[in-house]
Amino acid sequence: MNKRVLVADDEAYILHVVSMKLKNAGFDVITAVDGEEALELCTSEQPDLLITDYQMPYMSGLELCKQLRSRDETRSIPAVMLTARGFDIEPAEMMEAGIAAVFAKPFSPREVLAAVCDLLNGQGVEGGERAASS
Amino acid sequence: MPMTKMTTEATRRGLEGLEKVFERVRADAGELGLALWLWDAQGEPLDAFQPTCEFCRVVSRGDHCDRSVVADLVARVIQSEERAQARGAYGCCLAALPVWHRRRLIGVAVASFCVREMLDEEAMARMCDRAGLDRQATEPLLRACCRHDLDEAEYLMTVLDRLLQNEQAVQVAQDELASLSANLTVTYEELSVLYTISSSMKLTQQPQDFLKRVCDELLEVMNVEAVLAVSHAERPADVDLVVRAGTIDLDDATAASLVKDLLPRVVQAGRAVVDNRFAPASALPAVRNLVSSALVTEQGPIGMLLAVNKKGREFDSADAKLLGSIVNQSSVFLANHRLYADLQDLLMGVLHALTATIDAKDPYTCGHSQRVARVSRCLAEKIGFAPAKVQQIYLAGLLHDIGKIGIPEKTLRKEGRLTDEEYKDMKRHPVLGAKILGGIRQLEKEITGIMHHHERLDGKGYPYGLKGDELPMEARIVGLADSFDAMTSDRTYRKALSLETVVKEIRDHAGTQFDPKLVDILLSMDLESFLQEIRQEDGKVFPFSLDKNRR
Repeated sequence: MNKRVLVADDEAYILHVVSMKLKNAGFDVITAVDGEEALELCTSEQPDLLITDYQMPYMSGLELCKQLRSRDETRSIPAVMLTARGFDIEPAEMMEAGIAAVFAKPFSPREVLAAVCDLLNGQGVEGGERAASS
Repeated sequence: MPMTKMTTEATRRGLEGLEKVFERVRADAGELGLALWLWDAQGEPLDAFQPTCEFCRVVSRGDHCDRSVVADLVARVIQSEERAQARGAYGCCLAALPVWHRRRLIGVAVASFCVREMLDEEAMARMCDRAGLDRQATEPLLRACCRHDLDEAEYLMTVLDRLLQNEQAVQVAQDELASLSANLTVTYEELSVLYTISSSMKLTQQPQDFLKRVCDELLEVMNVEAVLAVSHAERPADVDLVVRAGTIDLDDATAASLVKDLLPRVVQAGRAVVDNRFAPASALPAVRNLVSSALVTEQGPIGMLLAVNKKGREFDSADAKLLGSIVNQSSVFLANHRLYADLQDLLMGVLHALTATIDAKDPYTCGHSQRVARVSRCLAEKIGFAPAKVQQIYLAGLLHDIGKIGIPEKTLRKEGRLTDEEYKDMKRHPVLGAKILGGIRQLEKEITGIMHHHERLDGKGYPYGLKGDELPMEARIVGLADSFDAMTSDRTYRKALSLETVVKEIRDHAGTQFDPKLVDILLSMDLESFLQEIRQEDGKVFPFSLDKNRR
């Protein structure tokens, strides 16, 4: 079965670009447009990995990740953060929220995909080769 | 699958931007004879009921005639998240279905429509009695609006559901397209800036011209009030250039001190730094926010690029990345330019030193080479040669007598006429000069001017007796400049000639010794001030002039 990735961002074009890259690489993709929706979906859909924006309505990406860590059923979902802020997230805060990688916008979708594959040990990435060569 | 009940805020957000969707669906439902009424997920109507048929208008009197029945129906749908139906007091059908947005229940759509069952004689009679309606008047109204049977309700709800979903999908696609297009435009602009700047990195361009272009481009693309570029020498305090685009109340000195304050932090960061709440030690009300990045070469920081006061919003990492990338390119250009200028200085220094050694051998030709170079450059410019060619002719002028290094000092310093032997020896200097410089690839083009500067148009010159068209332009220029300076300077055997005599001499030899066009150019100038200008520069290049000390 394909690995499933949840992408959360309130900017339609980011959702589109990241989803497309992941789908082409053989992942199943679900999307959320705010932190609350993303938290709900993490619980109900149990994705294998979360890619989240930092600044989102109702719940920031950082708060979302912290919430995930506080619940048994979502604790182990790895998280990748996309950020449009002018400064970095403190390493301590990253650790606390269990964020495995941070990409500052504008990021390279290719690099995000590589990080996702890396975090998921390349499992279930049937189209990975295709995406990498295209 | 049951979903978590959403918060009020999220519900409001779910409905946001769906007005257009509802409008379009309401119009389509109207075509089907359905009056669509929208309720939110808290069980409150979103707007007033709008009847679609005449009968409804008569019985509803401004509100839905079955408001409480609809409210109960909506509550049932919210509870079960499933479709539900009811009958109104007058027998019409009320069909309700949940409205979803991104997996969340955001409201209930209620369709009310008259059904053919209402046309039954007995039912109509009962209804008219209860509502106090005139049977004769009511019947045609009802006949006109009853287009469906009661058992079509389920099918109509499916159609309505599809309509809603399709219109929502269209809306999402439209929003996404708008967002993608907006972003594509920005990205395209940024790419174009990077392209423009990288293709304008010509080494011969002056740093201020290059930085001005960078500032102008960034001002447009970053949507800021101002962009500043500040470059400095070794110490940040020694600002040598402030370039700006846009309008900001910040003079050069303040900008320079701002850069001095910011530089340590930005250099340490090693990339562009965003400051959205700018609060410097010295109050600068003109600056709200800024993003800055240091121009750095291998030798250390040499300046900074700043974008100031973002219009409409704060700076973000996209701004920082763009500025950072432009700064990297600019740093490479500036570093290369400094290196180029240094090498250029070194080359010129070496060449001037070389010519100073010849002038040192012959004190009375003090500064002659440099003056010939200046006159040659002036003539080349007036002809309209490109800067590179002008520079080449300048160097040919500077080095034209370099071959005299191989002529005995005795001959050079001799007062009075030279013997035939000495004159023959003296005439070797153009060829000697060409030989001396022959090994320097970069001076290949200058050699022509040096080798032939004693040739004449009439073929009576030396070393080869070239004639007319055979005589290259650079040699004609250097030749005229050489004679002009010789006549206007004191020599071992005579004083400088009067300007009048010089003009006459040159005029008399136009066409035989000199190129007539060049003569016209030279003589059309104000020679008195030209001579002053030429001589004023004496010693500037080489302040510790050797020949002056010996005189």
